[in-house]
Amino acid sequence: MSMLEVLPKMARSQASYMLGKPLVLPMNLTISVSYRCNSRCKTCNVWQRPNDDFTLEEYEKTFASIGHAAYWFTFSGGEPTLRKDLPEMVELAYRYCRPGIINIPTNGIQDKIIPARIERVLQAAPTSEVIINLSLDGVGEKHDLVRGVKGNFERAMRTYAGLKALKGRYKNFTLGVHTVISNFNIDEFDNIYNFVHGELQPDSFITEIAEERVELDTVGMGITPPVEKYQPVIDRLQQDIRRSEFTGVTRITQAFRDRYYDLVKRTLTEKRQIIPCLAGIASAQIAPNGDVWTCCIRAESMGNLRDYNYDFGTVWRTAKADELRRSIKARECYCPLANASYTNMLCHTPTLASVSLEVAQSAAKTAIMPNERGKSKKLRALPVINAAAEARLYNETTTPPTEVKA
Amino acid sequence: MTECPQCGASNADDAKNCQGCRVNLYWAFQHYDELARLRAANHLSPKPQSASFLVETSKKIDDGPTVGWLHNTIRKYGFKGAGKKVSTTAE
Repeated sequence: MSMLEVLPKMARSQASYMLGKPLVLPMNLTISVSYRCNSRCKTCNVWQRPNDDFTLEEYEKTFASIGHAAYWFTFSGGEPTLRKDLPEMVELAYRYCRPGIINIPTNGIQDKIIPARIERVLQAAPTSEVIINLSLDGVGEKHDLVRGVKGNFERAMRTYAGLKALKGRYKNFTLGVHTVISNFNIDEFDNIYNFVHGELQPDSFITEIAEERVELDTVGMGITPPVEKYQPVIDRLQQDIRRSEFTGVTRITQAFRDRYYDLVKRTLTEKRQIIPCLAGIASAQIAPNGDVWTCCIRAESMGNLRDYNYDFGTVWRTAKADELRRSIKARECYCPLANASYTNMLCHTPTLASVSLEVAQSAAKTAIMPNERGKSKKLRALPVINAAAEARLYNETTTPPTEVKA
Repeated sequence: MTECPQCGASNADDAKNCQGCRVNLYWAFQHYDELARLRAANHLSPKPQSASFLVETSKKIDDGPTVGWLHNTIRKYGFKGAGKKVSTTAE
């Protein structure tokens, strides 16, 4: 599915929001494939949830009912790579839904298994952009302490090396690093940042603030750092985005990321929805047992797929689903959840217009001053190389033969 | 009865979440002391102010269909013992 196919979905999602009735299935779908997890993070209790995971057959029926509606799939957990059939699951999603983007987070603990399993994922979805995000909440022992597993950092680094080795072979592969910033690690952020940029150099580095979620059973835990401490972290990430030169699709995604950080700051300070939330319209989540949620923050079921013959559209139109949409539209909740926020921004006309304008201005500058902006250093150096080559060529052709012999 | 390390509320011995502050008791017996120190260092109140919609939604899962497993685990190991058994990092 191409990005252009998303445009009419955005319009239909906006109309659904206005009407309070879904005219379209979600374009952004998170599939939580299992609560099983071999991490014991201080910021998450999801591993305590009992297991009642969908089988492959159940996923096949579900994906068949969704069809080409969803552009962006996230396979999360728990630890999604613990499921041996993850590649087959992705293959089914690809066969029936053909998503443009597939996003999978991993803790990297199973270093001997994950790279091979991800390679099969990459093969299963050859035309989708596959983004694998390695979780990193500290450097060295600090990471192990936050994640609750001795030796996690070392294993995660081996996994990262194994994944990086796949980069050359799969053009559809983006390797990222993901950091959850909480009271447990905010004082370590400079170390994490320097390590990621200096040593790992991933394709993308994303951070998310630790927050209270019903899904993770973190309500009442107080893990969210104070805004005063989080603000400088966001400012630094935003400065990076604004100073850097991007081209093509990256220019667009970075412009959205810049605005996402603005949203996080305002949400934490003002404790309200800053832009309309289209969770339950443009985005949704399927829990491991088939419950369909508007989002993982509230984790309230609008119905279970097992009770509706695995027909996503029927669950999507239940009375409970409408009630949850009404509550969200009435702004009875708020959060800085990244996954939903990106879809919300995409469906928010002022944000979309602002990003489009910025990207257009940036592209125009590049066109007007091609040597100043919008090209990599390597490309900017080309005219110099060419000039030197021309000079050499000129010297060779004009030098008298006798001097060449000397 | 089990006293919540965070708010002091009295809870049934196999309660999953504190009836006073909603904190996951399994987690609280492992990490609350450390977090309380960090919150104090960050000039945050000892007890977090969770959004009311989260507290309300969290209460709904107390009687949900999937809590039996955790109740059984807590009954079997207890909060402190269970925490030590599952954590693989010694501090």
